[in-house]
Amino acid sequence: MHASHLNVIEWLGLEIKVPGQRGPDSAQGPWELVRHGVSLRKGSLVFADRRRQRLQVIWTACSQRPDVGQLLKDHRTRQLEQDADARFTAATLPAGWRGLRRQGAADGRGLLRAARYDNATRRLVEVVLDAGDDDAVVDAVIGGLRVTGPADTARRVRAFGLDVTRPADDAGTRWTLRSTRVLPADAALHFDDGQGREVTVRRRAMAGDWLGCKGQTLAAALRAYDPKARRAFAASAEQPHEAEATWNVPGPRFWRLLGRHRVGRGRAWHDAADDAVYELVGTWPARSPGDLSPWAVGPGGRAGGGADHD
Amino acid sequence: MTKRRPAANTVTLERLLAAVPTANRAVRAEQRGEALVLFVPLRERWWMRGPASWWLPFRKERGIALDRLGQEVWAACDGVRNVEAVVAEFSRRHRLGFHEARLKVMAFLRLLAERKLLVLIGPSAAPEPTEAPTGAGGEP
Repeated sequence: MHASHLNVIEWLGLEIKVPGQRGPDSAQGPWELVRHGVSLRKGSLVFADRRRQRLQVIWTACSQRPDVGQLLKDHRTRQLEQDADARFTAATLPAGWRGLRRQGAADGRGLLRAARYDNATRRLVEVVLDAGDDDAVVDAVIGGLRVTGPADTARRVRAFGLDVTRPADDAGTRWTLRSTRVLPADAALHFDDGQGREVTVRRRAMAGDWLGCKGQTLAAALRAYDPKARRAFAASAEQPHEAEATWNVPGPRFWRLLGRHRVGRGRAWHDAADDAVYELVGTWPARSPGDLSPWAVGPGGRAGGGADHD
Repeated sequence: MTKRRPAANTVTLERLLAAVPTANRAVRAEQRGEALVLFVPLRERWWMRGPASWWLPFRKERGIALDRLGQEVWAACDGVRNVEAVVAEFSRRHRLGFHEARLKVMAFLRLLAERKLLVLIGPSAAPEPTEAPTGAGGEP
């Protein structure tokens, strides 16, 4: 499978390549991210083509190296308890991976379960892949799966049409992906730095359809983040494809006197080529302001949307 | 304690995608400005006939206005294309992922079916477009 036919997803220090185009077999790609987890310790990503689940990538933080062979044996034993006729063969996989291919599953498809332990990040990565007998897909997916770094220090997220690079860690500040809100054509990633600063990155697709509607402007999109802050809201002169705004987050008046109030700053822009509006919004305590300029946001990681959140 | 729905009532994704959304032929469409208004006849009850109707102007039909996106999906429900084709066309046109488009389109089709504007004909049923009985809902 050619590299240009693959979509690249980066999530919590994992880089995953999945088929990004429909192949001759209509059941093939594009595979889309339909379920995701944000836990640093244990979670999974689930990809599906049009009809069924094709790939699940599971990560588990393990302080000590697990016996991967034993894990696979246990898996085989459990499967045999459910279906005594199931047959397993050892799969030939890229270096570092060990796997079992199950033949004769109930629906007649082969299912590959593979695992590897990444010493550097102390993470066990498991893969459940439904690629039938298509070795090209198996090689592309398993061979393309890389652990790029620890989950908590990963700076880049590519998923749901977003490509986000967060600022580098500095003294006492580490931005972490805390939560997501993924709806059809509307995905938002929420980060915080543990110091009271929060940043939301959002992509809204089908921008051409709602941007021209009455009252729907880029400044209005930013205002929606804090509707109560209308009085303090100041949007800069809106360019056709870009808007910026700053506002004070409403709160008790004495907070303001004590300097404990929060301020917000946001930027929204319309990417006509992608037919999407991107929003980068941060809120932080007024006495320790943040900066949005180190954040890099653009289109990318197209495999995803309408997803469930674990 | 909630009871699980019986398996017989569940529709698999594969069957859902293979179903053909077919418009109710009794529906009348009227363009009003940018909106397309679909009028679906209402079932006439016994008390709507006779003396009561001399004094009370009972509605004979109900109108539902569609915006541009709604019109696009409605136009695609031609009784030939299945749900998968409608979703694929919508996702291509609006540069969405297939499942993103599927959730949007299915929510809209469900709404239309609840309002008796169309029915989804499963692959096991007759593939030819048929007239849905007036006032009868589809099985989304």
